[in-house]
Amino acid sequence: MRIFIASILVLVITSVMAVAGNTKHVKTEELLELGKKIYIRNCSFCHGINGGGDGPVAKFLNPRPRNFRSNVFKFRTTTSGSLPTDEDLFKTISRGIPGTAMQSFDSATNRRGLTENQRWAVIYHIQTMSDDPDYNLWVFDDEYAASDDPDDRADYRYNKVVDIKSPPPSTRETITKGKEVYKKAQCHTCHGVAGRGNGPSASKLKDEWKLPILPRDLTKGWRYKGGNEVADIFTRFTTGMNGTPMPSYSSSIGEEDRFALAHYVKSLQESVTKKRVLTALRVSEKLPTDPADLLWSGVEGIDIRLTGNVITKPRWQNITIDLVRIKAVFTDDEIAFRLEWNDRFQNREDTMALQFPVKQSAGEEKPHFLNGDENHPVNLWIWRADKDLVAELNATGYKNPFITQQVESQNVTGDASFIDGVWSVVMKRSLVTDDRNDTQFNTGGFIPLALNGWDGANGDTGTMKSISSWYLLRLEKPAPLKAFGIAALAVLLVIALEVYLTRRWRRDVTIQDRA
Amino acid sequence: MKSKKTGGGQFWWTTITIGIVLALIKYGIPWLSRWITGSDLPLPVPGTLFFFYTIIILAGTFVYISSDETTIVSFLAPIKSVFRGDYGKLFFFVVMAVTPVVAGYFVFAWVKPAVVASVTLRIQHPSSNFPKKYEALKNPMREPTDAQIDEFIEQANNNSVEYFPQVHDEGKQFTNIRHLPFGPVTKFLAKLHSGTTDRGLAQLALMEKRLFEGRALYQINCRPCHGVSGGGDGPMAYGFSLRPINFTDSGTIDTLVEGYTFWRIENGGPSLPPESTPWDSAMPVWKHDLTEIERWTIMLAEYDIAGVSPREPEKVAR
Ligand code: HEC
Ligand code: HEC
Repeated sequence: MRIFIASILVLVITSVMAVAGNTKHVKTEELLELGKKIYIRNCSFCHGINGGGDGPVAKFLNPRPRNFRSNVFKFRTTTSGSLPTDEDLFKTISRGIPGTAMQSFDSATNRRGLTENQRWAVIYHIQTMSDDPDYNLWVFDDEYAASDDPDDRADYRYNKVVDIKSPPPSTRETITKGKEVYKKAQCHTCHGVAGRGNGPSASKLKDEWKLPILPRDLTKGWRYKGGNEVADIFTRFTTGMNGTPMPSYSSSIGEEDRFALAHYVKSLQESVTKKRVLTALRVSEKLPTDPADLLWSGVEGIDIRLTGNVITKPRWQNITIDLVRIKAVFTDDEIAFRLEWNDRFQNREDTMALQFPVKQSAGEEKPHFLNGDENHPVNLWIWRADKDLVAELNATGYKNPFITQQVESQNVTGDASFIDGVWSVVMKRSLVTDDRNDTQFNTGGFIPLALNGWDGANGDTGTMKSISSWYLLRLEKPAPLKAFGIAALAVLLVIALEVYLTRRWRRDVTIQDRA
Repeated sequence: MKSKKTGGGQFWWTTITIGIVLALIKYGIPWLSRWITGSDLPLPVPGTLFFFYTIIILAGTFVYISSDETTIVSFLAPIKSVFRGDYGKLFFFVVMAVTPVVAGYFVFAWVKPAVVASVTLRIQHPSSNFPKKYEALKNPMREPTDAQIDEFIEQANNNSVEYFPQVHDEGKQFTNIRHLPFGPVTKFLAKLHSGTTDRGLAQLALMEKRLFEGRALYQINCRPCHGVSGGGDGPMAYGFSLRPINFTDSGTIDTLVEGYTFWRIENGGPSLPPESTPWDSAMPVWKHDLTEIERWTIMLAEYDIAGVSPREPEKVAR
């Protein structure tokens, strides 16, 4: 019996120790020293030598790297306006902040990231950078809040960890209820009715550092900075995001409603296809230029991911157009594309370009995906919001300016609409033209296709634009009569075989029966 | 081994086996290739290869079945039953009607002119146009000259160590080495303040400074694609069909001589030969934007961030 108790004890003690080993590392002088080295080697280029958020990389980034001297942190499990717990910081550094330059430093996901010990060390170091000498006295203890001595309360500012339970499962009712909460709590004033970050106040928001800031486009799951799962979303609007206009709703919305709201926000996230081949659908009716034409709803498209031009100067990492949904239809003589992308603000400088090689080679060879090269020119169809027309251009490499084609060679037509934060643009041309500088759409092959996009309100201009790599457009040839003939022959052959086998095997049976 | 009692066992065993093998080829191989290469796009199994595998498997099965009277009987039993109408009239007619249609559909799909993407295997480190003169290049930033050490000591004495313009960013932060909390630097400075200059320490401190500067240049210029820790996972990387290289993967910069890496950085994607699909490469031509000495300094940091060292050039006997 004693042995039994002893072994239970050993088990309990070792498991407690194992758990403790996984959590915080004790703050020692040594760890702080290590933290400083890690900070200088890994973080200072963005966050600045003294934590001012002003390293040499900072000026290229939006959002800017955080200024650690001001004690403002977005991703917390603590009440609005207070500091994050050490574990909150640990989570941020391990996970990174998606959609920003702040990447994950977890050595489990990145071989040369930071070990747990190193991450704790650097956290303790950034806490020493605060302008507030009392930073390290900020404690998570109710005792100080309840203290009678006002000095106590002032010195030891009170942080309360918000109680965050795991969310109940999602049902149709919770989502419907969440939608009502979204409306009642007026999330749409910033995030827009459909959640595309295009509410009426969206354009006027500023953050703590007086820089313009945009409400999240809630339909893009990959852009959630603090994680896109229901629990993360719940935490974000429960605690708010310090330093940003994103408020805390912990007191204004009840917990049950907040869970429903989190499920609703999660349901706004749209799925993205990973296909790299766009198959154009052959139709017989005349092709529409109207983006809202019913024809489009029956066509399957693909999603094209765009990234910033970081290839040629001036480079641009702060893009907003990172996804375009594209569809294509064609007839015997025409082809039309419809491109749709989310854009918070309609702007005169909004521009989108479709790019094709002028000449298609039989093999893999293509022009460079960023606007071709000297030996391989590309043909661009550029739609501009200010003119609301599509121009045909050529380019011979990203170092050379675009060349607009002669008026008589301009034969792409188009139309566009902007509805509730979505641009929808149709571009249409005849399959074949007699212009040497145009791409020709011969059926029965793959034609490379790429996109360039500019968001005017985001300051995109020139080479500061969104770009995509090559995708492929597929135009199926109509099946020749011969194919139908061969298939019919096969059907007849199989029927003949069936008749023969049936008769033979049924006869076998009768013979056996007789025998 | 196969049960003979059920009579038709052979038929089911055969169809299930063929089904599993074909599914493995069609879905298993692409899945495996995605898993191995870690990319979204599988190495495709070309249609002709798939066709040949199918033929081989069918032929093998045929040989196996026809090898022995009992397997033939067992295999044919369920088929014969259908033809004799043992499962009822309705089932007989449905099978008789569906089979020709299915056959016709497959034949049609097969003879109809299909559009197939051409498949090329990409060569990651092409040597066909790598200029020989780069082969034996050594990173000049690795071994400071006496003059450079003297200059560094003097700058440290005046508390104004010089950095590249991109790094000091109009003299905002980087004007000395006091903020570098690394052993050689702090020791060197401590000695300097007490009036002695240790040349050995100075050299080590200068190397720390260069490494730091290289890291800064890397974070400014390369990080958007190659990632903050060299993992090929920078915030811009997702958009390129040819993913930026993960420097921590073996078989990348650790298998290359420094001169090769230098040449690739200098001339970027456009200088690759066709077998390396230059049209898909996002790698910029850095000779346009960085000086030669800046590029060597970045390389110092690139290898350090990735935690690998370059391959030594082979000693060519002359
Ligand atoms: C490439 C630039 C870059 C590097 C390198 C970098 N960060 Fe960041 N970091 C950012 C940016 C940008 C933000 C702000 C994101 C935002 O506000 O949405 C940020 C935000 C943060 C935050 C604030 C999180 C919050 O809750 O608000 C912390 C903490 C942080 N970084 C820690 C670190 C540490 C520690 C390192 C080094 C191990 C590091 N960062 C390296 C760019 C960087
Ligand atoms: C005053 C404007 C405003 C209102 C009202 C507002 N938000 Fe936000 N919200 C923002 C801004 C700005 C951000 C982006 C902060 C950032 O990027 O650092 C944001 C971000 C978010 C995020 C993304 C968090 C992440 O991890 O990236 C979610 C989710 C969110 N808001 C939900 C809501 C919900 C739900 C409501 C209503 C209950 C709401 N917001 C009301 C301005 C607002």
